Amino acid sequence: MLTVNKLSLGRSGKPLLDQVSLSIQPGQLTIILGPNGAGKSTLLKCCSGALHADNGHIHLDNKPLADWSLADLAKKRAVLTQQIHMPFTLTVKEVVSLGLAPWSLSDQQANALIHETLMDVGMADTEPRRYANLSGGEQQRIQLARVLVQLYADPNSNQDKYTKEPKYLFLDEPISALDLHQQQKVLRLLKTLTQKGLGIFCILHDINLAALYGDNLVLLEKGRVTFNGTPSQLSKGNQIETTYQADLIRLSHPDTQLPQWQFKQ
Amino acid sequence: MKSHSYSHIPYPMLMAILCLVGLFALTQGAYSIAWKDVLFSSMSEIDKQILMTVRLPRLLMAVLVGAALAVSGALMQALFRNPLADPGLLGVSSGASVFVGILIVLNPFSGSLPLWAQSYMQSGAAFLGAVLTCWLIFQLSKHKCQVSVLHLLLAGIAINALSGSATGLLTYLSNDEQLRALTFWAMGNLGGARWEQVAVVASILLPLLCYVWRQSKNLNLLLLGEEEARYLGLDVERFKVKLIAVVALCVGVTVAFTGLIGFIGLMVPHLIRMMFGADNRIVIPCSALLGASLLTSADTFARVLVIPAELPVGLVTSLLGGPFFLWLLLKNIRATS
Repeated sequence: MLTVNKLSLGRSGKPLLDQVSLSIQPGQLTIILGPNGAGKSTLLKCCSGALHADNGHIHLDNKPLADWSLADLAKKRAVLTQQIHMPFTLTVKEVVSLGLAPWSLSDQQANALIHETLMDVGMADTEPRRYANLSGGEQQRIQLARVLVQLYADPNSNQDKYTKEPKYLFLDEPISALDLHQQQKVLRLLKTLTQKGLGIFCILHDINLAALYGDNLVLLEKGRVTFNGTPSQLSKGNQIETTYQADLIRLSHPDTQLPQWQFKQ
Repeated sequence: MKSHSYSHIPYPMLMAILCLVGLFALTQGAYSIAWKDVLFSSMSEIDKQILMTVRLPRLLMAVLVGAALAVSGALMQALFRNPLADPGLLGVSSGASVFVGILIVLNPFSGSLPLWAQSYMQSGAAFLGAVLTCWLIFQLSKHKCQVSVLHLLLAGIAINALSGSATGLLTYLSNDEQLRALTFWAMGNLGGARWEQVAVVASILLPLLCYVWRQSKNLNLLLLGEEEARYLGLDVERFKVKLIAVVALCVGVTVAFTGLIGFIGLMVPHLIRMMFGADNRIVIPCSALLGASLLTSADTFARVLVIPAELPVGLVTSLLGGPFFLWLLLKNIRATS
């Protein structure tokens, strides 16, 4: 479990994160929501070990995050950032294989794993193509495959279960460039991964998708947590309306009865 | 991940090119030796003497320096994530040349030392200049304990401008003889290569080249960006410091013994990437091989073009490299627009 306790971070007098507490459970899809500039990406950077907070504590599997070595962290969690610009043209296979850096796999194992993971994100046919020639959405799925490979590659954990040795995935808007079909596919994939025991911390903009797929929702506003709970709990209050300051009507999803929001026009 | 199977990569082709170019370099020149004699070692005494004392050390020097220049170019390009980066860009080479200029023009020991000692002092000055420039640029670009690539580039531009004016000032102060020495050094020359020098250069460059080759997997991680490389377990800050030290040593040693030889570091990795892709596990060793071939052939051209005189090899590589750089720039501009 990853626990964040009263985390605060400021830059030039302005608080970016203010007393944030939350936890990422293995086997759960935790979705972080919030308006632009609420501190979502900053929180992700703190939780994944890229940024050090001014105050507060983060523990990963009962050990302070700062005590983890970079090499051990790379085997424990994978991070997909928002924009990745690659200056030189690698092939898709080469890009995905970068995710295997923390591990030492045989060529055969590596090839099989890369192929399997590309199938998961629906890009198996692109393996020999040049990464730079793909569309933005396709590149996003290749990068997702790269971070998935980083977690799949552990020879000590059974490929289908992450319960024995919990692993975590941090995603910053992983579906921002995807079409409807691919969005659904990726979110369903994330759901399956959590059922296998993976803990996922995912930043999304779409509150409806978050309510539909998230096990746990965290709403951030100006660096503060204004809501932390399940989607059904979120439907009881009016945090969405006040945090986003948008004119919305609340509906209920016809299949799942989960809350959904629509513009009042 | 272990190394890929390289079967589809034409290392044999690059090795063959290097051997051919090497044989050509050994046989051609003001005095030509039959290639059959070299291959079957059935040379006359005088052939042997020329080969062993002049041509072979010179060939080995060209191979080592060409490989080191090409690999340091590939290193800088991976570090800056920019295909136009080159050791010359950071100001390392020009920093070194200022120190050599100071020694040539303001030589405090001139006349009091024998000629060989002066040539070693010149090499030492270039090396010192390269290392000092690297250290200075590195200090200037360090920001909150992190090395910012943008600051590094800007510091490089400033150092280049400063070195340019310092060299200009030295040129202004120099007399005719000094001016000639300065100009020829700045154009690069492999002419003076002797066995002792080859031994010194090899003992420094070969371990560095092996180190870079071993780090090529980590260089690939930098292609994703520094933040991503950290997420994959690479200690990016320490790695950058090591890479900059390697570049300073490579450039310092080559500039010290052969003067300014430009554009190899820019051209070779780019050609390799066009042919075999951007995976550094392939780019690094292939660049070393092609860099060695390119400098060897440039040096042979420099020797045979105006027999019995000799062109400075830096002039040949710049003549080749200048148009190449422009073409690269135009291609980049067209690709982005």
